[in-house]
Amino acid sequence: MKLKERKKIINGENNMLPLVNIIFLLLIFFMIAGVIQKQKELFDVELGEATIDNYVEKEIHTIYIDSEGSVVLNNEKIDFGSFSNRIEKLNNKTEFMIAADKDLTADRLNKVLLILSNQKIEKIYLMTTKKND
Amino acid sequence: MKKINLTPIIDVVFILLIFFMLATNFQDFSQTDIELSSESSQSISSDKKMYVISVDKDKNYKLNDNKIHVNDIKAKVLTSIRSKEEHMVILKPDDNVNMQIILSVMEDFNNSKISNMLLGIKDNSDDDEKPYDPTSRKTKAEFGKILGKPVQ
Repeated sequence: MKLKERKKIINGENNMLPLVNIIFLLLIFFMIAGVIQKQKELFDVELGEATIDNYVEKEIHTIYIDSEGSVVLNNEKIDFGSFSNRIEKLNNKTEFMIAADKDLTADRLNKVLLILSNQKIEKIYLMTTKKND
Repeated sequence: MKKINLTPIIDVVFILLIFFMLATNFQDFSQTDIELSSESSQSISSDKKMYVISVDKDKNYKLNDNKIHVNDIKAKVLTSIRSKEEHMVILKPDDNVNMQIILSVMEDFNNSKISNMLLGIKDNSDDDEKPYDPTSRKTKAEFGKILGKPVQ
């Protein structure tokens, strides 16, 4: 028996619909889940995880310390020997944000904190990434 | 019936999608403000009750140089907080303790409503020259405990 040949329905626009659906879903996901903000350059610093206070973006001096103890002050890599002098020369040095690597040891952190403490810095914040519970 | 041409809307949606993919940032930061407690500061010789918490890299805790479970430390500090007793809580991590452990200890205490923790910093440079201060209310033994060595 000869089967009746089915007519293929070719409709370009109908075939696009699943693609359009997925794109719409992706668009909605990125619009809702993402936050539009400037990507932070972290200078090889892998921040520790802790959720303590909400991060408030503000223009303050930021010190990045990697796991080896190398220091970047306000986007400029500096030698640790001149760190104290650089801090001394800064204007408006009331607040500092420290972005320290999660593998940085306490003795290396201590050296930086000691310099800040000697300069009578009033507020020091530690930057972390939020824990994913 | 005339069909609507979908191509322009797909173009626009694609452009929006690419924009949001590039502009959005999923990295979520948190922060904590830290107060420093230097061994050379005046506050160390004050009348306040001191809780000097040491922690090593295996998260073994010591309170004023005595081994103790973390829950017991929290209970003691919380008792001081509830009775409105003047006190200081100082976290002194060992030298080889990494940042993640320090943060998790601070977070742990913060979650237990102990938010007034100071981070102890060691002034290694003048440890050797620091004389025992006889006007301090601390005894030589107490001062020695803070310095981590006997006081002459």
